[in-house]
Amino acid sequence: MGKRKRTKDKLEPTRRDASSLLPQKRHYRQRAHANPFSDHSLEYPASPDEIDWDTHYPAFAGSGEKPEFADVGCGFGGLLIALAPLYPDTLMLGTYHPMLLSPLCASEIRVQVSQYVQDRIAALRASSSAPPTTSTAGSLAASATAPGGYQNVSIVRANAMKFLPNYFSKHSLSALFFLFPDPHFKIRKHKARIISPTLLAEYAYVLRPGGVVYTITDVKDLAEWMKAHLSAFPLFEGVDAETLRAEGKGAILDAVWNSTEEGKKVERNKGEKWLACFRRIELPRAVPAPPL
Amino acid sequence: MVSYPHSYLFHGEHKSVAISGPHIHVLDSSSGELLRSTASPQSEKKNFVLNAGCVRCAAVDPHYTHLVTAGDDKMLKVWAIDSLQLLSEREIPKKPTQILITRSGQTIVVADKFGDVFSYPLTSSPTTTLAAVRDTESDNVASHKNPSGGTLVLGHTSLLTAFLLSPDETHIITADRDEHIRVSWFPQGHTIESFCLGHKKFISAIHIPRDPTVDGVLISGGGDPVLKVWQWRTGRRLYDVAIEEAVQPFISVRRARPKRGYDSEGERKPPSRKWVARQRRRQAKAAAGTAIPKDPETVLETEESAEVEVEADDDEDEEEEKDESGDDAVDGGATLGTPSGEPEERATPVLVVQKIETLKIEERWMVVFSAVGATALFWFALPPDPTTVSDWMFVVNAHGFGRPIVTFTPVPGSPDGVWVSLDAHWADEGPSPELPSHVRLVRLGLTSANEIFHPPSLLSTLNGACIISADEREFSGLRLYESLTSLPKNIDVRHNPMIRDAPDSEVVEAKGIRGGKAAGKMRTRMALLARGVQDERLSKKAKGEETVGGGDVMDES
Repeated sequence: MGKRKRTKDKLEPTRRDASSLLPQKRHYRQRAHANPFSDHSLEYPASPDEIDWDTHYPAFAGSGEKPEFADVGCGFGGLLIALAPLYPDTLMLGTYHPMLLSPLCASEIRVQVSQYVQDRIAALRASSSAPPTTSTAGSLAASATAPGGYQNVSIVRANAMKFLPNYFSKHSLSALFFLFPDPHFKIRKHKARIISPTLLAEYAYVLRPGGVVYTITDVKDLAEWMKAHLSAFPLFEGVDAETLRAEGKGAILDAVWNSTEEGKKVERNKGEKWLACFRRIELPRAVPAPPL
Repeated sequence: MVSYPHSYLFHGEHKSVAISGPHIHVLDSSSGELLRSTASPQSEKKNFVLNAGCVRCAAVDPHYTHLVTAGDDKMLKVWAIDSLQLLSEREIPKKPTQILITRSGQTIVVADKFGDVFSYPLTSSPTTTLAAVRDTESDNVASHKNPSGGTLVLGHTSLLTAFLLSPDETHIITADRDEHIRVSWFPQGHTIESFCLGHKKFISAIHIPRDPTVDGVLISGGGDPVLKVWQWRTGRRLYDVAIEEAVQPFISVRRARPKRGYDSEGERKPPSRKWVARQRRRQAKAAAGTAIPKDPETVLETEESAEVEVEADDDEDEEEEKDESGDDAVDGGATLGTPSGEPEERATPVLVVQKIETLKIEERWMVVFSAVGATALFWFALPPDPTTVSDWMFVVNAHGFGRPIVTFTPVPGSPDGVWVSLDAHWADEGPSPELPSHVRLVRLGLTSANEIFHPPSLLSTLNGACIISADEREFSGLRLYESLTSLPKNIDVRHNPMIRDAPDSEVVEAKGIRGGKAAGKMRTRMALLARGVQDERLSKKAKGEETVGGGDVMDES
């Protein structure tokens, strides 16, 4: 597949627009894969106590709020940006929704892509929090959100396969997202898939009982793989979309389905998507030991 | 002629087992008589063990009926200690890092370099194994295939360096190269009880004190200058014990990380096939497009582009299996700071805690530990109550042997005695003392140690009949000090690509960025910065007009 080239006149108007604060994806292109097993020059906290979430969420500084949603491998950050404005809405409706009140956090291993999301969040915060007098052309973001929007999203560059427990303490998350993860088609690469029986133990550790794992993919093999492993894992049980909608999580499901860049691409190409959600359940210790 | 040091010493009430290189010796604990040995001329197993190579991991069950060994041949072997008969041989999926046998003696637990822990029944039944293998082969969602039908207990995405079972065997505690200590249920490893997080460098040894009065305490050590003491059920750190000052003077084996393309001996490695292919591709490209003009971005030597280089490097290494060798795993990172010359003569000492044990000395519980390549045994008193701990109370004692310690084991029955196995052939520049002995026996006191020079007969057998000579090649295959180079990470974490310099128009001009990705990024960030300045001015203005106390826009949300 050749690279698409855009004509220059197409680019000009967007550059002059007030939304030029938003970074442009083409400046942050990076190859799609990073080896999760090698030592990247990553800086990570030794334990969740050592993270200063205030620097990630300045508007929440001092509140002691910690992220409740984590989008693992967030890509260009579409899900976060879609979920962030839902927060003032829920307040207006007056229904206290603990899951949406808390900051969201994304992790991504690729440098360029992480920097893009970082710049995107900074731009969205700036353009949506600016006083009305300065927002001249009525940029796309300012109209959609109340002042101070996007204060609840942030990104960390991290290897989630290795360092998830360094960021999130036991039972601290209520939702984990694995949206269009790297399919790793080759059998010998299956061990690098983000869903595996051994990693599921760590996801169950950071999720509180009742929390939900959302997975979606456009690769049938991977969909089967994720479903098989999550269903087989004793601490997760499948939950269908209707049940989640009845619990008021419809907006999240819509965002999972539509908001990510990958999701839109699949839509454009008229591809199929497979969504599967699983709830973290508690298991008493009294389970009889399997014969060894 | 060199000879193998004893890499494992198991001292039982009646029998003792010593492992030296590929060989296994069984001794009578009291008389010191060598009962069986795979090295003895009448042993039919001699060639068998020689072909299998050095034993890397070994474990003995509490009753000294079975011995389990494994090496780089990835075969898990169960031996009957009495007859030294091989009872079973099973293939394991990856190279092992540690083996344990449960108290019942019926279950073998193996941790491997890929980070997984599998459990196996003591007796292998070939029918179930075959069925299990056939099951997984046809299944395209199968992960963690096990050639011998082992049960997956848990897994880390990192090399597992050490693991143990809690005294009641309800929990398994695993430690990895990425600073994690995980406490999971056993045998249902799916539920994680806690993580003991706080180490800054790899973990290489963990231990639960044998003192029955301190419950739920775990000691861990690795590359950090301290041993950490935890409450493992909750993951709470109780206190640190500073050991670096005591250990540092005794670290006499120093290994510089081999340069890329050189092996640990400083010899040039033949180029890999991948490298050759890459070179060929590059040449072809160069021939096709002769002089490709350089992108302004590549000329620009920002830290950012350096980071991208590293990333690209990682991807090219992706084909490399993490478990092929300990060295490959560390290869992925940056290759920064490697000197152009030969590996340095005297590298900086690297601390790798080798083994931690507890021992009762004069009615007080002591923590005894050793470090890889260090010539001394270290010990300090374990405070019975963690709430009364303060820094000054830890005095780390050391007893030097003049040779690096390979392993040590406390002698049950005489509670303060410790068998110490040494690498007798190791020689520093200094004058080498007279006859090297492989095994020494010391009696530890509260502050000093006495060597026992009137050796019991077991000691003389271990230093005599059990010593097996090896040629240089076989000996270097032992890789006694490999962990000094394979465990530390050689990456530059000081540079965090997520913390970037503020954009500055002067910098942009000075570096001559006009077009391209870097300039585009810079432009949007500068626009954002300009907006920030504008906002600040506006809000200040608003504040001035309104009176003091009008909050910032950010704070209101």
